[in-house]
Amino acid sequence: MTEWRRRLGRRLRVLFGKERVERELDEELAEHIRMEARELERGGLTPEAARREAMRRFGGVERTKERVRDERGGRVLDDLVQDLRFGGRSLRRSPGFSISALLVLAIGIGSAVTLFAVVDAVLLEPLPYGAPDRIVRVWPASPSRGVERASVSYPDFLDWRERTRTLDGLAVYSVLPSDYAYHGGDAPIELATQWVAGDYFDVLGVAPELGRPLTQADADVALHAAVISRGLWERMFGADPGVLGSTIQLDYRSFEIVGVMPEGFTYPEGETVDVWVPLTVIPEDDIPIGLRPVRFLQMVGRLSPAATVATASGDLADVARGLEAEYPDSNAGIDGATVVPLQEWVVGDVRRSLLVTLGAVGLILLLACANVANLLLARGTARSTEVALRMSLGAPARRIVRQLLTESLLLSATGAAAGLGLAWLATTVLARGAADLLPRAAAIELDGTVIGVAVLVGLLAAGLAGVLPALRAADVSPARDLRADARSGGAGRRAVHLRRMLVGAEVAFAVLLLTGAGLLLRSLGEMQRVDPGFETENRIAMTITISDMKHPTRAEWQAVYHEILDRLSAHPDVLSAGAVRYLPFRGGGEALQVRVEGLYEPTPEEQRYANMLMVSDDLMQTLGIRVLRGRDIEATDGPESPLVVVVNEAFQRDFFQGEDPLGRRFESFGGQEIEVVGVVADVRQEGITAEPEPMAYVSNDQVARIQASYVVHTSGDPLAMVPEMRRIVAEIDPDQPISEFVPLSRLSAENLARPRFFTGIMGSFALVALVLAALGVYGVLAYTVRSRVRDTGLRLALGASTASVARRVVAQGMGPVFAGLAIGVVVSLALAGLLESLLFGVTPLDAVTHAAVVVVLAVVGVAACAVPAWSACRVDPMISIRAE
Amino acid sequence: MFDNTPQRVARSNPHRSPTVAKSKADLLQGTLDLLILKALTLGSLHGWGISKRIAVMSGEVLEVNQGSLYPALHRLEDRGLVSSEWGVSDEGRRAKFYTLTDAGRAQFAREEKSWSLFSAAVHQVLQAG
Repeated sequence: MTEWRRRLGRRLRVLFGKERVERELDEELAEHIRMEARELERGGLTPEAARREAMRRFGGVERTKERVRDERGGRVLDDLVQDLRFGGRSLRRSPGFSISALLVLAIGIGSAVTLFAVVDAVLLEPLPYGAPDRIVRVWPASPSRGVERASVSYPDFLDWRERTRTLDGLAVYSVLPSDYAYHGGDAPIELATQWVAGDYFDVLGVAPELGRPLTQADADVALHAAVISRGLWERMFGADPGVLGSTIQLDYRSFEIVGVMPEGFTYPEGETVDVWVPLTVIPEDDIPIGLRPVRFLQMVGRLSPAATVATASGDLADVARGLEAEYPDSNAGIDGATVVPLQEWVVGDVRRSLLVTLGAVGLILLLACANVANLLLARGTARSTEVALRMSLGAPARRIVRQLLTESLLLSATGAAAGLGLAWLATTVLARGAADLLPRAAAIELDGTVIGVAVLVGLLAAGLAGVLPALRAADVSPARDLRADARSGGAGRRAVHLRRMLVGAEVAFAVLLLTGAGLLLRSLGEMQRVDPGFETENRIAMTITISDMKHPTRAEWQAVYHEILDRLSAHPDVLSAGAVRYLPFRGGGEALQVRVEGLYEPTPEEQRYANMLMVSDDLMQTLGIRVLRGRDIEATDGPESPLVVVVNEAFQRDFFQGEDPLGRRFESFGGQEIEVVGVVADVRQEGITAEPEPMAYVSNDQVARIQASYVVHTSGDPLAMVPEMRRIVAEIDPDQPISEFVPLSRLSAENLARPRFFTGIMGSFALVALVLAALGVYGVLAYTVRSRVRDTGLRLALGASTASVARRVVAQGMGPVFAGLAIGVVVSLALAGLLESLLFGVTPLDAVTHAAVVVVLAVVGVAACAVPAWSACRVDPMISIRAE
Repeated sequence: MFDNTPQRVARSNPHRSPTVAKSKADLLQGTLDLLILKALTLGSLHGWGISKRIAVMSGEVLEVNQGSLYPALHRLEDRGLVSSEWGVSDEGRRAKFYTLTDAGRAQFAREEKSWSLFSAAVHQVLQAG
């Protein structure tokens, strides 16, 4: 240990006290020679002769010194410092080269590191729960109907929890309609509330910071107990540790606070939860949770130590089949279970997008390295005289390679530092701005792992960019390269070959990136062209949940609903107003069983459902949904009049086999007859990319719900309506909170946000690729033209036309471009399948995209050739021939 | 592919010979180290003194090449077998003196023993039939 420390100390002394060490060595050797001379003098030589003889006997002082330097420790470090100093000086001497190489590396490394930070946060970092890899999402499934992930009813859940042998805990929760009104402050607000039952907190493996969690025992007795978030505890209770046992008023009911969750705890889906309450406090007349067909809950469980996702699926499917046999009326066809690790579910469909983008960023990095390698090669050729000189002075090739590698290491280290700066900026922006686009976006940061990756990427870049040029640059022969001007020497020619290969590779990489971006761009275009079936312009929606605690009877809360609608319609700026439970593009709806005599008479196993939405009269007009035949829902379709429904075209196709359903009846709600009074155009309820599903619109007066989105079509700016709408609601009921205002234009923006985001990223990568490839083509060609000035001059002098000279140059430049294009297109056709699931309305082999990419790159290639070609034409034969 | 075939041949030559020379030096190194350690068991000494002492002790048979002596001294110092110090020579001049460390003494004892065995063995072989 001490030995080790002593040696290190010595090395550092050699390294940093280098001048002193060298001076002492000089002195030591000089003294040796002096002593020898003295001895010779004593033997009778004259001082002058003695000195000469002593020198002769000693031999090469410099060589001895060099060998001593080799022997004492720290030589490698010593050389490194020397190389770094030298490299730094030589990089500073050619700022043009250094800045372009740095920029290219910073962009390459910066984007790679940023993307890795995103992937790390979203895909790799474990969720912030106890043993998160054991947590799974669980759904009942109905393979025969193609349903993999169904909601579960409360009674079914209780049986699943009781009967499972593979889960240590199972919980249910609901996110609908779960915002509770709170009236403690100045204005009524809503608190994000999650209804839970079962082993919710145990499953997630997080204990409350204060108090106790909610358990199934609370749900069993419908205890009015609440666990609150750390945030709410601080905001509303000033982080008072005595909060346990006090009550909080939620929707006109008192809940006792029994626990406070630690900072940052929330469910990974939807908004941040403020309050958790037992599911069973839902009034039975609101949602009849005790009925098996009432499926509206989601399950999350914890695998027991011996279980796997596969064994749990099998076990839970057995449970589902058991229930199917016991309760055929409600559970027929539900004979399977889907189990997915929580993390996989959270990450969901972003996974592929992210991995594709990560691949793209890898290509950018390769491109950047190829570019820097190209720059280094050019520089190496220009420096071959210097290298030849150093080698003829005795520097071994190994040493020169090391020195050149140190230079590229210095470059990429600086590039990595700059890239890290860029990545820091980008991740800061992403962590704040991408919350709606990416799950877990807030976790995006430059942590140790990411910085470690940045260092690795930097080293990789140094290696990729530096090794070939360094080997190539050291491959000089003093005899040859000192004699001839470096430019016309063989080393330059060979480097050019290598550089043209690199350009070909760059073009091939660019093809891949451009094709990817092009396909995504085409998809985005297709998405924007889709007719959603409703209008978004000048329309805004306000979502409200009327309290059935304050307005306990259905007549009372329906009166509030109608008054809001009437007052909105009466507003002078409003052209039309309507209400709908479940806004289009946001998904959602309630399952409606359908049975059409003679046309659709399914067995319970085959039963498919229509999506039922509750609407007001005038909703179709307000949303601009086209009524194709028959009539709209009207105000006269009240609670007492016969049940009527307006269906869409998909409904007609699926349940009436395409026959006109107008005026016909079908059976639903356990045998009740419903008459079809109208047919409307399809609306993409689940989002732009989802095919329209069969829809049934019923009157909110006939199938009433307390929550609805009130939509107004305004003559002016829809946002100007927000204060007006607030005022109207407050005048009707000052205690009524409003959940959300959303302009409908934002609904489609929300829908396109993620594709836009990824298309944007891929697009900017493609642009960078284009620029880098163009620079590569230009750089090599410009160099070739410059080094062939004499050749060109000779041709011109011998009568060649400038056009033929330009043609020659362009042909030379386009050689590697065409090779790269061919290789790139072949590879991209082979890889395009990877993008399939991200595309919409475009096949991965889309000919238009591929053709466009080839044309764009060819044009850019020619443009990059133009400048060198032009300068070749302007060569003055007389000057160029005399020049060398 | 161009006009450089002769140069290609010429290029590889300069770095061949040092490799051979180095392996010879390696062979001598162990012996030289042992001689230096032995010289220093008699007391601290500067570089020139060491070479003289070795010459005297070997009856002027062994002549230490300076080009090897100083690298060897610095190597031994790096390995912690000797330490160095600036002192004053017999002639009253500043000189660098080398002293055997405890580790160096132990190393010498080990090497001396194995050298004796080795040289006895070689001697025996040479004497045989």
